[in-house]
Amino acid sequence: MKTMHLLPTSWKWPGAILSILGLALGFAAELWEISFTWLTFQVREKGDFFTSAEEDFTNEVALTLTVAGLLMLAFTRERDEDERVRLIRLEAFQWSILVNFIIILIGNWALYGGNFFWLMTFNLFTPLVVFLLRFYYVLYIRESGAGKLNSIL
Amino acid sequence: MKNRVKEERARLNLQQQELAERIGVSRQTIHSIENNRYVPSTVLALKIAAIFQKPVEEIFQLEEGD
Repeated sequence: MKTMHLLPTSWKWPGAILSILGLALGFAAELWEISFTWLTFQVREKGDFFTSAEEDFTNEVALTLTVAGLLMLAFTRERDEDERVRLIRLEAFQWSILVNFIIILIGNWALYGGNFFWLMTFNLFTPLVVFLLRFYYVLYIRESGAGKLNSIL
Repeated sequence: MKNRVKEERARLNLQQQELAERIGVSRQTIHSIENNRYVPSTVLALKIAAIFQKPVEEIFQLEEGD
């Protein structure tokens, strides 16, 4: 029985390395304003008071590396992928979307302006991060009582 | 849904791993079916019934509340 297409299991480590690199670069760029001159390009004829003529692409590279790495981790076939693992996968996606929108709802009422922007920046990653945490947690505990999945069938 | 997978497996003297390999799932999936933690798909239930050479309803039965 075939369902969704997944990447080979061997893509897991490159995915982990890419996402760690991307996260490290992203934090360095955002928190300590680290940037690389070779990633700065002129994108406008001339700058004005609000926008510079040059654009630093460090954070774009960091976001790309992080998202690509997390996608590779999330969409990699497990060594023992079967219909139960596929169900655990779907259930974990359900959790991740729920958490993502609960954070949006809470942030919408609790935070304003720049703080809300920051929350939404981090919330970009919750669908993939919560999915990975839930998926691997349930795989880890699947032989104990907590791994009961009948309720969502 | 209750099942008799454990009993039928014992009758044929099959390990969880052997049954899992024959029907193309992981050993953990057999374990969770036997412990009523996972309800298999129709395809998997039919494959299990074929291994035990019995009609599927002799191995899987509905429970009250299903």
